[in-house]
Amino acid sequence: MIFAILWYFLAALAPLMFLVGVIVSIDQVSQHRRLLENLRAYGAVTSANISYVDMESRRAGVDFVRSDGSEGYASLNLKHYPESVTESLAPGQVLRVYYIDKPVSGWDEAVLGEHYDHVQAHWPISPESSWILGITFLVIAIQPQFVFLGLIDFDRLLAGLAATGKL
Amino acid sequence: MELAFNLALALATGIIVEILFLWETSERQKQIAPQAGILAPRVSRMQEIIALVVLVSWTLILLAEFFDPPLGSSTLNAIADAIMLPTFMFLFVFGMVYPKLMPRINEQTVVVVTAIVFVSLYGQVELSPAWLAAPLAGIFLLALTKHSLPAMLKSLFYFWYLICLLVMTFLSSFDILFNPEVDFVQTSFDHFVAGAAGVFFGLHAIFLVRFFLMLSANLLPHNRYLIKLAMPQLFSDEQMPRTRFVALLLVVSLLLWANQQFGLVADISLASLLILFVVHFMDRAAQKLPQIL
Repeated sequence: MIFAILWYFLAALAPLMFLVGVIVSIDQVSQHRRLLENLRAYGAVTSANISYVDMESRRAGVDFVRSDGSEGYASLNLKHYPESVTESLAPGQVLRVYYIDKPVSGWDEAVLGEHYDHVQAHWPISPESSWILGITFLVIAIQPQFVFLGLIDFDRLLAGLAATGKL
Repeated sequence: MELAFNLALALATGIIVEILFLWETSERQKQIAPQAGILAPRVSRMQEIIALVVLVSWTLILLAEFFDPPLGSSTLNAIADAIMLPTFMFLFVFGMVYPKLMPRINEQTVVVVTAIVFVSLYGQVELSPAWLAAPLAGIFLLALTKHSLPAMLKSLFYFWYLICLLVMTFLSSFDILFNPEVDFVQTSFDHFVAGAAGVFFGLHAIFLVRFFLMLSANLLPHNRYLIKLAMPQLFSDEQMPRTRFVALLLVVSLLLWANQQFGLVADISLASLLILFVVHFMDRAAQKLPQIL
């Protein structure tokens, strides 16, 4: 009985979780697209100094000089690169970065100049979002009644559940 | 987002008029007896309200266009926020939670919408004819048959229709709303259509997520009864006579082609307007047009 209640609770929440997963995925895809578009439109290459590497949040910071001579700062998303590349990064190291040389939205992100092809080929949807989408879809595929609320008369939904022996 | 006052007004009017149209279409299709109009008893109360809103708001838009009242950017931003926040609430509630306002369509609507989307895409993206010929011919032939489709096929048809509208969402209103450097002059009419089409496409884009989940009911045989029960709410078997349908398809394609050639209005505004027209009025045309064809 308790498992049945938990299962129905999960099935009722699954559509909302799926929607959240879709929104998060769309956001990740659009952020990635915006980064590539900005780099294509306003990208410039320079030498930069790594200020920090945080392997836990998979981020690194770089300091460099912008084309107008002002000091620049940007972060690198280490999820874009293979382990062999990220493990070789250390504070103080100097390397070439591809940065956005115009104050547009998302201009505080840079990419490693030597590994731009990895950034282009990167699948922007995180594994966490993919898991949420996959699991919630599976739950809904088994117990889809809750997505039909508002479209099918509630009594008929219950009758259908009873007829299939689920209630 | 910063808009001139007349453009913000046109956008808001488009949104309100489309919501009223969705309401009116939903009530008519669900055969809820409409209240007779007060000023004109031959039309319904809702149709009367729509006409009144269009008349009053367009008068205001034209006045705003003429006098161009000087409003600060903070006021204009507040107006834009006042339009956008309730609209997003509306889209979430009626797209995801309670899809009461989704218009009921049929196979012929899907074919006309597909035609509009493909004509709009022509020249913007590279379409491979060999790839598309078979599914498009299949959809077209199904629309010409008078057999009632099985619920599962209807659901796939409806999914295709939602995908077409999603393509239109990307092609249309976002550019005019969020990109001030669009390559055509932004008139009040363009903003009116962008508002109306934005609500319509947004509603369907959100419903697409829910419908994708609903499609999963087709996977397990014991859940398929759900699709059978739900599809009559979204998909109708009523169709207009074939000759009239083919004529309508030709007229729509011709209009789009002529506009692309002569540039009377922005292509995307015309395509959006035609989709709204087809979804809201095609079933009426099937019932009420004189038998000229």
